[in-house]
Amino acid sequence: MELKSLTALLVLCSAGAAFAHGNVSCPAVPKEEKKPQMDLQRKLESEGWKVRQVKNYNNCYEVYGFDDKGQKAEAFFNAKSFERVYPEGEQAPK
Amino acid sequence: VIRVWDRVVRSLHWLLVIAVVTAWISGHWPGRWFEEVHHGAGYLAGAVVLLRAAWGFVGTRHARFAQFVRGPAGTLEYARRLRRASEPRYVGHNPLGGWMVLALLATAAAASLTGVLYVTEWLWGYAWLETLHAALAWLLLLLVGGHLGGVFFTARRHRERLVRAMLDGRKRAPASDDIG
Repeated sequence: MELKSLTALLVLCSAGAAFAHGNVSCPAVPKEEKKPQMDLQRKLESEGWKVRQVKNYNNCYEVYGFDDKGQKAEAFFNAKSFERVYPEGEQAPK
Repeated sequence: VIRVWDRVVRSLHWLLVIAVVTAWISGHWPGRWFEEVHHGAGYLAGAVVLLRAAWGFVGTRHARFAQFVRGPAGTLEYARRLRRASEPRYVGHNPLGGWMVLALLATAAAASLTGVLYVTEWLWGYAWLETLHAALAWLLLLLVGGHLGGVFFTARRHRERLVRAMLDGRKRAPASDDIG
């Protein structure tokens, strides 16, 4: 029985791993071409965002906070152009 | 053979296993259904812990905290006898197992709560809370490892099938020097 549970767990793990980082990614950019996270934060804040966290995710900058409409946001940006990148299944607003 | 773990204890135990495993995997390998799966598992874990905590006061004999939580002196004494391989068999939780139950429930509750707080507008997005939530998840993994180690060790030592006991609730009746 222990063996069965362990196998089930491993199958679940690999099913989970298949999704790993499949959601959103940005083209790889050499380090020196990336603009600092702080610049992105300042730019967003000047546009009315509230930024609570910026971190790296699949070559993108991932921002947690509230957008210019005050909505909770988890948003991704190209680290070189600061262009917003939308995960698959998520639509860019018109 | 006697009935030890009642239906509620067993159901909540395995529900918590499912919730924690699902939450752990979906948290570390986030997928397209992250919100549904990870949040769902986290709420389920939180609800299970709350119910188990309540059942610890009103449940059947071996489900009650008062039955299996021993003070520091009794727990240390048990640990000493464990090292001399002369510890008594407990039909319910042994003193170390009892503390492990509390640690597991408390950590699962804290992981669930920090997760819920993280998605409130109040605390949304703060890195420190995300870090705390992740640390609790790793602590929970560590405790689960300890729990499994304790279960398999005790099962060997007293020649019992403890995993099966958590499935059907039945255990060998206490012998004269066992603790019921």
